[in-house]
Order: sequence, then structure tokens, then C-alpha cells
Amino acid sequence: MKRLENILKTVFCVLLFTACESFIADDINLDPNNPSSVTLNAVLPSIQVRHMDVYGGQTSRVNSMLSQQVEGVARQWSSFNDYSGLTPTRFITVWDIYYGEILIEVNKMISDASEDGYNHYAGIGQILKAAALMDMTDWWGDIPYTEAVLGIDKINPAFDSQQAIYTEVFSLLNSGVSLLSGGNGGFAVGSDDVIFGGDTSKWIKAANAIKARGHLHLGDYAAALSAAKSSFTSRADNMSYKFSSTQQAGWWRFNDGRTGDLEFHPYLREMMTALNDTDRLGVWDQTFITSHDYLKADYDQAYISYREIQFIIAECLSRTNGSASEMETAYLNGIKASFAETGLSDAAYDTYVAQAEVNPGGASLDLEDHILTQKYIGLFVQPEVFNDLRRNDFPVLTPTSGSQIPVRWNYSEFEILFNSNTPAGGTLFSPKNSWDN
Amino acid sequence: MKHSIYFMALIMCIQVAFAQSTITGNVTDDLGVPLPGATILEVGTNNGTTTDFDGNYSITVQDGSSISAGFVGYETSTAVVSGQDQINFSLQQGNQLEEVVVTSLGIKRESKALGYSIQTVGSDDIANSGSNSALDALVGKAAGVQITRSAGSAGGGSRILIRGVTSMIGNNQPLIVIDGVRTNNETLNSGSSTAGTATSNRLMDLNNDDIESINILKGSAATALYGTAGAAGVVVITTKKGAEGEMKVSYTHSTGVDWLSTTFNMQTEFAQGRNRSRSNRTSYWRSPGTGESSSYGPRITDLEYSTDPNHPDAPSASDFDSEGNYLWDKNGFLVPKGTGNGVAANNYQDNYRGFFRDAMQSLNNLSISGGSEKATYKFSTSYLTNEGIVPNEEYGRKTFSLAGTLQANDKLKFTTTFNFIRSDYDRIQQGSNTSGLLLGLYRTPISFDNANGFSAPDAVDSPSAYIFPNGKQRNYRGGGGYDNPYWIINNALREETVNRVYGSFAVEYNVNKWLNAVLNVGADFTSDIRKQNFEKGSRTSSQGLSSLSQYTTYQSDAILNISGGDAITDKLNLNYLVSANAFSFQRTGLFTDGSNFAFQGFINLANASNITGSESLLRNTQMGLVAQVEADWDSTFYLTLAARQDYDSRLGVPGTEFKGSDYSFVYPAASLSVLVSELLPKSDVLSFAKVRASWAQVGGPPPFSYLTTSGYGITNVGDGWGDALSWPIQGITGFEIDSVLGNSDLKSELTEEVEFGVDLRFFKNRVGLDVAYYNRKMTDAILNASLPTSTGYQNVWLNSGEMTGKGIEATLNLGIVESEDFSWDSQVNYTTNENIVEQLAPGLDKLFLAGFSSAGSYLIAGNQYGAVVGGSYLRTGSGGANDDGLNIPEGEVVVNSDPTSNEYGYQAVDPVQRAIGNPNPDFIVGWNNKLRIKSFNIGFLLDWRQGGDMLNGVAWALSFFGRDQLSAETRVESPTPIVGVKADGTPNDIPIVRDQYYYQSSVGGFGSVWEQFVEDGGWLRLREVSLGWDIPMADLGIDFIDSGNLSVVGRNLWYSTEYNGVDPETSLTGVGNGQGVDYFNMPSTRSVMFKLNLNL
Repeated sequence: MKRLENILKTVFCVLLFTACESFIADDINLDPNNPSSVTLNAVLPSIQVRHMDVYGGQTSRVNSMLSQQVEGVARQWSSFNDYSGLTPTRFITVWDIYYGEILIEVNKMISDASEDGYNHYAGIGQILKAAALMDMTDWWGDIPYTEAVLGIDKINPAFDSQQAIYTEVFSLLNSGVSLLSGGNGGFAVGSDDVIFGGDTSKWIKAANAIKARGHLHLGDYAAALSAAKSSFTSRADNMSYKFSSTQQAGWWRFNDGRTGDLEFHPYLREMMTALNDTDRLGVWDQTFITSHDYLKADYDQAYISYREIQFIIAECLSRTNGSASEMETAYLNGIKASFAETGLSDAAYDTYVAQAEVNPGGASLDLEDHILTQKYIGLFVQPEVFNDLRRNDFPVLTPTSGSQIPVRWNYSEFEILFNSNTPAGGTLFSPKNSWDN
Repeated sequence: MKHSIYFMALIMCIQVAFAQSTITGNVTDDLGVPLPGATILEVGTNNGTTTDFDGNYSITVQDGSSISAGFVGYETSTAVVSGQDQINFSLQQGNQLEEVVVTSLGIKRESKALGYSIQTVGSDDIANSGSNSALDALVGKAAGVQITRSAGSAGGGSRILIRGVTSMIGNNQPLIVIDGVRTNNETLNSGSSTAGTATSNRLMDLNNDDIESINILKGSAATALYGTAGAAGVVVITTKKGAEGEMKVSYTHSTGVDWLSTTFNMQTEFAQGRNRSRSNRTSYWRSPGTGESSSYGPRITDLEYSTDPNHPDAPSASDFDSEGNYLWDKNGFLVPKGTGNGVAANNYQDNYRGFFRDAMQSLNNLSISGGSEKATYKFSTSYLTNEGIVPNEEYGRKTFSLAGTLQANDKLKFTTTFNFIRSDYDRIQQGSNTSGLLLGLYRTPISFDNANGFSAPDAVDSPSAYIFPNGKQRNYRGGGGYDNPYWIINNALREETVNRVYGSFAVEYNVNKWLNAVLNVGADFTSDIRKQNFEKGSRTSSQGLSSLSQYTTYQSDAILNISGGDAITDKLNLNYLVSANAFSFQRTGLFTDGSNFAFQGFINLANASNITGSESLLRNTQMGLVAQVEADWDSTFYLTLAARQDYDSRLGVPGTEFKGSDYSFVYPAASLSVLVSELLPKSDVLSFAKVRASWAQVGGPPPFSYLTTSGYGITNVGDGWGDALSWPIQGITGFEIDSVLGNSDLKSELTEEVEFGVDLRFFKNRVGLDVAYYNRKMTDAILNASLPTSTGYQNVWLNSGEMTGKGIEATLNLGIVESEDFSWDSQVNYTTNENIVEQLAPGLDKLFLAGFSSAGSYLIAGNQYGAVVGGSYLRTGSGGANDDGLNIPEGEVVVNSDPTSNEYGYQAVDPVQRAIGNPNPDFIVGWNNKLRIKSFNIGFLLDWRQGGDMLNGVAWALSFFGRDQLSAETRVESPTPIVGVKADGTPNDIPIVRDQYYYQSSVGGFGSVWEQFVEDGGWLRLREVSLGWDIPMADLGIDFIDSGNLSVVGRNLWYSTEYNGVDPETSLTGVGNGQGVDYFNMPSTRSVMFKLNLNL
């Protein structure tokens, strides 16, 4: 009985006092499942894969559908195809990814890297940030930036104008290039950089490529041309991420889970058939299933590619009446790179460009009939096609419903609901981007 | 403080020189008939027992104390103990009720003293319900309680709410206390809330036959002593412990059958196919090989078979094998009548109904109990097998329970319980996922045979029904779309194994009237191992997946009660309670996924080329200190004052210095009860009258652990339109900042409640009416307040919500007929509750609970909890002066008047989502009847739920596919204008046909408009009906069996509802807070069970 009494006494005391602090406190409420901080090499791949995935995934699907390269034919996608289903709720996910999974992380990465003097991380961060910002302003127009990603310090971030965003994009790219041109501060970027493996010269080329794309959007063809010429010189330079058979690309996962919702568009089929583009068509115009020969699991998703740069050079030369032979070279390089990207032989390319409809010779190259047409085809399912469509109003598409082709994305439903600064009245059809004349 | 505890411990250890003696005896009514279950109490203490089946009892008490005997409907009798060892009581049928109920912390009190509402449901009501789940067995038997079964799956759980909700997004299910300690009633979801399988609530582990009684503590005053844990109400379950007397053996066997109640009203006329084009709206059949999803094809009666690959309408070559045989139907493909082989097309309309089976269930239960005056024991074991109505769905449960009491000496008493439960489940995928059973089952066109020529039962075990020799899946979408139902039940099962041990150990040390100490320690350990199979080729995981989850949940609870009390004067009685409580919870999770199988037929990590794993740990601790004083004056006025201080680890901010005040909060409770009938002259009409009032505050805990900080998580790479990627990628794992921002300033939620009630009994208690009204205000509700994502975060945790709740609950007891050969007792329970969300967070007027982005259940300031918001038709007045931006404007429907639009003539879509439904019922009535005619017992329970809207996602989706009856009728109608106005305000005169293009537009299935799919989910239901017969063992000359009973119980045999679809008693999101969403949930079942009970 004495022993029992002692046990009871002990239990009571342990219950009430001895253990009070350790029982209730002692970091019991510290989340053991998630780290409270991580190092730069754990954030960089996250930002890169996240961006490549949203760019080559939902962004690619929506833009190539609006650009009539693919057609929504079943379930939700049939209502997206005629624009009626593309309500603000449909843009929640992509908006969330850009702000919550790219921008806030890249800001933190840049500030952490700068603090420690790890300039290569900071430089790559600035280039990635510039790319994301340009995407966002191109899809949505005015967007929160200067007051964005500050948590509860700014719960209604103000919207910055598209012009201001573009200014920031160029400034970030310049700063990124200058940081990457110096030392790494003692922490080299390595295999955690899943795009270039820490190769600073490739990052500098990529920064110039993004700059060229930006200047092209704004109609500054001279600046675009000059930037393009300091960028990619081969397909090996592509700013791209190759998915794998086990970590599959966005299109493959879509075709796996949503088989039959999207298919190849008859408009593009007709355009390519008219140009006897049978080889590329044979690879692209297949049922959108997991065994599709182009939209493969291990698709090499480019953010910006050598072929796009070559088409930019050709377009700028055409618009500025530059050298016809340079223009022809760039034009043909672009087509050739597209064939190679599609897994086709040089022979197939040679046959194709031997046709006068495709290549009537440098001096006869028409901006729309040749350069923009081949860019439209050559950038199959790249989101940039939607920018070209709006910039050039070419190719001339028939709206799938109503009388207008969408000129922008809707803001996220949640931004409309929860941010009182969200501009009212936006639709898919207005307002146009500042560069969209 | 520290000293006082040692002091208390010391006091406990002092041997006090009061002699104790054990009294035995029996309790009978005035005619000498034994009263089993009568309560024996040592007056002024918590020491008590109940009489056994023969009315015998045994109790150890202080010499010189008094013991009382009470029984429902009888006057309590008291006797003083002075040396005798036997006291028999003969109770007079009384005017007053002297029921003793178990209240908070196991304290037994006379119900007349209570200033708040407690309702008791007895063991018979549980055991004879025809359900194996204690929660389901409670339906309709208690006022203020709403129980919703989440699905008709074997082993599917139920959700219980007491007096509506108290937390906006946290737990709203009551605390379950078994034998004095907190017990795990969690529901662990696997997968997203709208997909996956049915899940169990852990209270299902309890064998109903072990339950002695269930007490439901409803309001804040009743639960205040449980602190935050009891904020949503408390269900106090007492199990059987055995009683002094000879060994008793009780055996129960039941065998039953469950079958499908109803299915959706499907069309049976039109085949797979679609219209040729918008301009040529003739329909044509399309082969499954095309992946065609719709049933907007020709009438099946206009089609016949052909096997000729050269037929002009023959499907593409890929639909034939190398020998030229059509792949998708052994009879051939379909062609217009007159062009084929003359064999009329089969109508496989029984695809879905025939798929279900009559499911058998059986339960064997054995219990052995008995005891001496020093000790009692009870052992029981049960074995349940329960098939689901879906083939291959199974639920099995084995329980072992051991309970006993030991009166060690005059002062010391031990009570212990020990339970082991083993449950096994084979579950079926349901809801919104491509392997969800009913998606494929309901959407399959009538021209496609899921069973591939087999009879439905044979197809279950015939792989060639659902898989081709090359391993590709055979389904109506050419291998795409949704899994073939026969594929799912063979290749996408989830297996679960739950091993659980729980029990309690109580020591009671009774020093004297003023000092009684009880220490009750309980532990509850659950191991839950799950394996989700997806064979290679499943639509959910085309490369195959074996997904293993191992959950280990451990919780412990320790309560120390010190109490006492006695008469101070001849009118004033006082007693007190101080109590301390410590609780800890910990759940570890270990998850391993193996995907990309090398070959089919071996769903195992060993066959996977990609294996990933993760772990999780969830933990929290709570402590509480309680003080309570009760006073009664002249057995007429009863006053109770209580206070509790809680400490909760979930309020702690890691990395900061410990300060008790950061973790703690105090709240008070007071209640008053007045026996008006004591103040009135004795009356033949009014036998008893009590009015009561109470006020209390109760804290609510943070809804989850770890909300005070935020960090990084592994990056989610996906966009909702396909599987997300899993890290590591290229050997690296990427982390991103949490999307939810933590808040170091969080404090507890607070509920303040007033309750008024009356308890009236008439005509010698033949008629009883108990009514309670309560009014609650919940403040500081913790919300994951939405932020615009441009802040970098989607949500932040904030103490900001406010909500009110009020309701009335009433219980009417009627002894309609009472005679020797015939009696009819009836109880009506009425429940109404309304929770209004008053405020969310600053700048936030809407918070998503559950459902889909196009329609779901939300919290909206000024609206009922869980209001359904979704797309609606555009109306005149939308956006106008009278449009509040939420409710549907009172105006005419505007039709799309743009001739170039594909939706010309259809209803236009309101760009704003509107409040389109309220999922909360207006009221719930349960009418429970028990009739006895000689040795026959008849019972029936009617369950009436008035109102409560459901989002009919099945109707929504099936209209898109043309599988519903409505689309079959409207597609052949002549063109008619939609009632409404055109954009210019003139009456609509644009004729349209509601055909494929209509139902595949914004106003059809998968469109953004939901208002036409919101339906009243109310019902009137014959929940239980039973017929029992007390076998006259003596008359039959069977003397080794004391008594026996044979009964048949029917459950859910009939119901009436206006809801178009499966039984509206369903919830896609299971036990979560968001309710009112039906999206291909498992249909409910009806059941009949035969039961034999023998007592030796």
C-alpha cells in the first residue's frame, strides 16, 4: 500500500508541476514536418521547376488554345475553348503559382544571396524574376509588384502599370548579367541549377534572349535585334528544363489525367497541310494521349529557345529593312531548329524549305506569310505564340464564339475578391496590353 | 501552489479512522418485482453502483453514512447504514424523477439538480438499432443532435454535431469520453476531401453491445469542466462492467443483408454518340474507341449490330484486333437499323443497378460477467463481418474487452477497462476522381457493356471484362476517361488495417464525505495501416501505384478529481470539486509511394521503379485546472458555479520564452435549477416541474497545431490538371515558402452561451416534456483568412471570426398505453439550430469550406454557416442598385441574345457567384416508438429532416454526358424559348432545344451555373423498425437459458425525398465542416437484420 501511495503522489506531482512547462511548452508547437529555413540550393530548383512547369503546363495549354494550335473538345475544356468557361476562378491556380510559389521565393533568394554576397545566386535569381514578371504582365497587364509579396504588411497590394513592370524587367536583367559577370562570393551554383548547372555564360545569353523578347514586345526592334545577337547561338543554349520519364512534363501529365479534353487544332492542321508540312504534322497531329510523340514525358521545355531568337532576328531585320541574307539565315535557322526539336532529320527540313511557298529567297521573304507564319508553327504550344498573336494580329483567327479573340487573361477570382486594389471591369477582351496595338 | 498539491497528496495518504462496510441487498418495486439498473448512491459522495438483472446490488460505504436507491419513475428511498450488512429497498412509483446521470468528469448527479440539458440514451436503444456504429444508432434519439452518415459504404463513418457548430473551421464534432477518459473519434482522410474512399470515425471500433449508456452533454454549462476539448459538446459513454452475482453469459448472433436503396434516375434510350455538328444536329453512334464521353447518340432501338469492318459506318481499324474482331463488344459495332446483320442492339441499361450486390453482414457477440462483493468483471468479444453493396468492399471488426472493479479495502476502489480492436477494410474509390466508382458506372452509355458479356456477379472475377490481353483497360472511353467499375473493384482497392488498444485505469480513494479522490488515467493507441492499390493502367495512375500510409496515434488522458460535500444545515447542502487534467496527443505518419510498375499483377513496392517517402508528426498537449461548487437549498434550488483554466500547447510560439499566460485562458460557468413543483401544491396533473438557466464561457482550441509560425514546405509542382510531380527531381528536393502565414498572436476561440429550459412531467410522469433554448456567441474564431495571393500567401491565421448560434431542442416522452399485456411508449425529439456567420476577417467576406470552385460550401458574413455559393443565371437587376452582390437578384432571367454566340438563346451567366443554397436543415424530428404486446416488442423510429440544400453534382455532370433522364426528355422536344428576357429587356422569343449543346454549355454540366442543380435534401425516413419476441424459455422447458430474445430489425427501409439522385443522406466531404455536396457519392443502403440473444 505504501508503494501505491508513492506512485500516486508521484503521478500527481508530475501531472501538475514538475512537468508543467515541459509538458505544455518545450517547442511542442514547433512544426517538425517543415523546416523554418532552407538554404539557397533548396530554393533555386524549386523556383526553376515551378516556373518551367507552369510555363509549359497550364500557360502553354491556355495560350495555345487561345491561339488555336490546340482545341478544347471535352468537359471543362470545351467551355474554355469558346471562352465562356475561362472565368476568373480558372486563373486562381496560375496566379497563385506566380506570386506564392515563384515571386516570394525568388525575392527571398535574392535577398538572402545578396546578404551573403553569393552573387551568382542573386544574379540567376534576378533573371528568373525578370522572366516571371514579364510572363505575368504579358498575361494580365497591370499587376501588383512594388507592394507585392510582403505578407500582412500590405494586404491590398497596389497594381503597377505594365510599363513600370517592363522597366523593372530590363533593370533586373542588366543587374543579373553584371552580377554573373563577377565572382560567386564563395558559393558556386551547381547541379541545383537544373537549367544551366551553374554555367554563368549561358545565363548571360539567356538574359539577353529574354531582353530581346521584351524589346520585341515593346516594338523596339533595334534593341531586340542587338540583344538577340548576344544571346543563344545554338539549340544547346536553350533556357530549358528537360523533364523525365518519372517526373513528367506538364502536357504529358495533362494528357494522362485529362485524356480527350484537348486535341490538335484543325486550323493549324490546315495551315501546315497547305505548306506540305507533313513531317512535323505527323509528329504533332496525334491524339493527345501519353504516347504522343511530341508531348512526351521527357519533353525538353524551353522558357526561351534558340529558334525563337532566330525568328526574332528575322522579324526585326524584316521590320527594319535589314540585311536580307541575314534575315534568310535566321529564318531558316529557326525552321531548322524546330525540325530538330521535333526529332526530324535535316533531310526532312531540306525538302520542306526547298518549297518556294516556304522559302522564296531572302529578298522575297514576307513578314507575315513567311516569318510570322513559320514562327507561329515553329513555336508550337509555346506560350509566346499568344504574345505574337496579339502583337501582330496574325495569323487572323476566327473567334470560336462571339466576335473577339481574347486579348488577356482574367485576374484570379481570389485577387478580385480579396484585393480591393484589383482594377474592376477586366475581361478576356479588355483592356488590351499596353504593347498590344 | 506547489505546497498545496503536496498537501493534497498528503491528505490522500492519511489513513482516516472511519470504518467501512459492504452492504448488499436488492431493489424492487412496490409489487416486489426486481428493478435492474436502479442506482445506489452513497449520499453526498460520488460512490455509487447499479443493480444487476435481478435487482441485486453491493456497495461499500462508510459506517454512519446514508445510501439511497433510485430508479426512473420511482421515488428515491434512503437508508442509514449502521452496522447492518443487508438493506433492501422497495421503491414507490413516484411523482418525482430522481434519475441519476453521469455529468462532466464522471460526476454522478441527480438530474433534477442540473441547470442544463443532458440527454441519456440507454443500451437497448443502441443495441436494437440495427446499426453497428454507435453514432448511427443515436440518430433520432436525442434532441439537439444531428448525425449524418457520409456514405453508404461498409465501414463508412458518420458526422455528429451537437447544437450546430462552435468553430468556424476547426473541429465541430463532440468530445467522446469513454469510462471517464477522452477517446479517439478521429476520421483520418486519405486523399483530397472530394476524392478517395469512405473513411471511418474511430468510435465505430466500439462494440455496441458493450455500451451501458450514452449521455449527451449539449451546452457550454454542461461541458465547461472539459474545457476547450468539450467546446463542441461531449458524448459520455459508460460501458458495462459486470455486477455482483453469478456468472452470466450472454450471446448474440445477428445476420443481415444490406442492399442498394436508390440510384440516380438515368435515361435508358440513347446510345453513346453525339450530334454531328451545331449546324447538323443529327446524332450518330460513336465507338468507344473514339473516346466519346457522351450518350447523345441515336436511340438504341434504331441501332443494330454489324461485324463487317468494311461497313461504311465501321469504326476505325484500331477498334479491331488482328483477326478483324471488333474489340469493344462481342456482338459487333453499331450501325443504323437495316444496314447491319439484323441483330438489334442490346440495351445494357442494367449496367449500373445490376452491378451492386446484396451484401451480407453478421455479428457474433459473447459476453461473460459476474462478480463478488469485492470485485466484478466483464469480458466480451465480438466478430463483425460486413460486406459492402459494391462487390469486393468489405469491413470486418473483432473486439475484445475486459472490464472490472475491485474494492480493495474500505476506502480504495479500482476500476479498469481494456479494449483491443482489430478492423479490416477493403474500400472502393469514390467521388471526384477518375477511379471513382460511380463516375464510370453512371456515365457508361447503355450501348456499352461494362461486364463484356458476363453476368454482373461473374464479371467481378473475370478479368476479360475489364482488361484486354495486352494489359490495356477495357472501358467505354476506349481506355481513357474513367476506370471500368470492374477494374476499380479489382485493381484500385484501398486496404486498411486498424489495430487499436485503449482503456482506462481508475483509483478511487474515499477518505470521508469531504474528501474523495479519483485518479483516472486512460490511454488510446491506434495503428492504422493503409495501402492504396492502383494497378498499372488505372486512370488515376497509369503507370501503377502502391501507396502505403502508416498512422500511429497515441493519446493519453489523466484526470484527478478531489471532491466532497455534505449537509451544512438541514436545508443547505454543499459540495465541491477541484480537478486537474493533462492530455497529450501524438500522431506519426509514414508514407511510401511506389510507382511505375514493371508489369501488371504485382502491386508492390518491389515492382515499382520510383519510390518516394515522407513522414509527418502531429502533436499537442493540454492541461486544465477546475474548481466547482454546488449548493442546494431544500432540494428545491440548485446552484452550480464553476471555473476552468486551460493550457494548450497549440498557442505556444516556438523559440520564445515560456510564459504560462501565453498558453492559458480561464472561463467560468454558472447554472441554476429550481424545482417549481416543490413550491406548488401537489397536483395529479403536474407531477414535476423544473425551470433551469445557465450561463457559461468555453474556450475553443486553435483548430490545428503549428499555426503560430510558418516555414518552408516541399514544393508542390502541379496545376490541378494532372498529377503533381514528386520530389526529389534530379536528386534534389525543392522547398518553397508556406502558402499560409503563421500568427504568433493567436489566442483561444471563445463561446459564450446562455441556456434556459423547462422539464415538465404530467400524470404521474406518463407525459414528459423537456424544452431547452440556447443562444450562443462565438468570438475570436480562428480562421485561415484569405489573402490576395499577391501578398505571397494565400491565407493567414487570424482570431477574427464571429458567429452566433441559437436553437431549440425539445423531447416529449409519452407513455401512451401502460398495461400488463400492452404498452406503448413514444419519444419525440425535435432539433432546430441556426448558426449565422457574423464576421470573418477584415476585408474577407467569404471563406471556402468544401466543394468545387464553381460551387461550394462557404462561410459568408451575414449568412448561415456553410452557405452554398455558386454560379447562377444572369438576371435583370444584376449589378443594379438592389444587387447586394451575393443573393440572386429578384429579376427575370436574361438570355444570351448574341446571334454569333454558341449559347444564343441559352440563359446568360451572371459573372458574380451567388448564394444559391443553405445546407443546414430547418429542423430535425425523431419519433421513436416502443410497443410491447405480451412477449413481443415492436419498435419504429421515424426520422424527419426538413430542408437542407444539396448540390446535386451527379445531375450536373450527367446532363453533360446525356445520361440523365431530363436530358433524354428535353433533347427531343420541339424548339421553345427559355422563359426570360433578352438583353434589350424584351420577352425572350429565341427558340432553342435543350440538347447536347445546351447541356454542354455554361448552363449545363461542368458549366459555371449551378443554381438549377441545387435541390432540397430533406427527407422523411423510416430509420428503424424492429420486432422482437422474448422466448419463453421456462415454458419451453429450457432451464439452462435464463432468457432469450429473437428479433428482426430493419434499417432505412423506406424514405421519401424530393432529392433527385442517390439518398440525400450523404456527404462527399465526409465528416468535414463543409456539407451539402453530392458528387458520385456511394448510394445509401437499406438493411434487414435477424438477431438472436441468449442469456445463460
